Amino acid sequence: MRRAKTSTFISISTMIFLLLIIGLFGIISLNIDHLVDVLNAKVDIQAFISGTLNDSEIANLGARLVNIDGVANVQFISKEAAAKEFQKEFGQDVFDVLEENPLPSSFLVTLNKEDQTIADVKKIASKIGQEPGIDEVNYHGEALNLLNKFSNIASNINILLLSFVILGSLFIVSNTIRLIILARKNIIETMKLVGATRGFIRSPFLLEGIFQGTTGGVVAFLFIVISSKLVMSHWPGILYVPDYYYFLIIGAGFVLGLTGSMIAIKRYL
Amino acid sequence: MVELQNVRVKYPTGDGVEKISFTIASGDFLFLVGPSGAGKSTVLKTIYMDVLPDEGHVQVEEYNSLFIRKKDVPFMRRKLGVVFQDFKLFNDRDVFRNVAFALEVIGRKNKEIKRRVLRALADVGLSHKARKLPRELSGGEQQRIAIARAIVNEPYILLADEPTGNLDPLTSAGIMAVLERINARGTSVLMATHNYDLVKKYHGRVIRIENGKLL
Repeated sequence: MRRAKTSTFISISTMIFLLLIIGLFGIISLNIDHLVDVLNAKVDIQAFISGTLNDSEIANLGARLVNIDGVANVQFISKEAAAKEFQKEFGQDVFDVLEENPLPSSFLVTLNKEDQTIADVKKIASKIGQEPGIDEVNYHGEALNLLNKFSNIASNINILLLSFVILGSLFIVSNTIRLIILARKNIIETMKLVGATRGFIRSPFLLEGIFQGTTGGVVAFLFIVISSKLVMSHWPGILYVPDYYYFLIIGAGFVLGLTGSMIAIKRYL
Repeated sequence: MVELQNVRVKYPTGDGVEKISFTIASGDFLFLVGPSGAGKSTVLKTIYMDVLPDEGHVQVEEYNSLFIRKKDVPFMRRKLGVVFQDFKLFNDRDVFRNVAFALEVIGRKNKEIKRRVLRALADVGLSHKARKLPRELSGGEQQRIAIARAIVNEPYILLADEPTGNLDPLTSAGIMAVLERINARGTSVLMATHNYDLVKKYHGRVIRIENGKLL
């Protein structure tokens, strides 16, 4: 029985540790996804207009761009506005260097939010590029590609790690329950002999597993809530953690504890 | 009624029993006698359905080993009491709680538990030891507590597997007296033993078993 008690203690501590790992990697993964979302939402397409177009042709072109699927808004940026933007960005007036304004006028195309996966952005950009009168199309495709790739790798690592951690915690809980079952073998045998139902015999072990998992979950929950709130109060906006997420950790503890004890009960009781 | 009909059990080791048939009617006292390893415990196990026969069948009241569902086994067991050579008492609780255990785990109410436990302890003559721990009692007393636990639910039949196996002749006689008293009140008793001398001293039907077969 003492062995079982030590094992319970080790089991809960390990559960805390493993749930912390699950929780922290979850936060990292959430934040990468969130960052990708935010950056995707910020992608605009800049379409440069050929210098040969007159005002009414430009207006027609703008109207055609608005009709492309997935386009939310088209804003015309005149040569003059582009020159002002240039000056803001580089601190130098183009007219100081050159006698005429070399900057082309352009359309700044913003997209519907739901269309903004990288593939959709590419598709829309190429449609815009095919419009007669558009010289060139610009968007931050490479950066987006890289970010999406990184986010995919990170979520694969997460899934792998999560599987290990889940298997590990199931093993630990079920092993602890096994030890408790062995320690109470005589009582269990007598219970069976005097006609205790299976549910009656099994329920304490199920509760024990749920207790271990949930205790681990609550402690990991507290640790993660406190540390992430601390981080967020020092560096506001650096972390994105929705409130439901914290409770998922307790839920994970509960489910792992329950499953671990069910495994042990099935095999040893 | 308990009835074994052509029961055969084969263990992977090759041991087991076969062609076991007998009936225990209400109020019977039956000895199952044979040397160690003859299959006495196996026969008892088929009755409390810890082992189901490979052939034949066992009938305990309305339950038949051929048709019983797993979830009904506990309810069948409430109709019988079992005691063993090694008592199987719990040293972490006193005599009262040991006997009460059999009623607690089947969900009886506290008031009923108290009444029945005191009655069972009186039946085995140990009411005055209710607050003792099992380890503070002699071997004979411990076996009587085990019997009290087996009869506290007023079973139809008491199965006793070598109940005197660990006890000296005088103490064994005390246990036999308790079993006879319980039997006299209408509970059937099936006692497995290797001690033929003991059996000869008492009334009761005797079935002999050797090498897994009845003689």
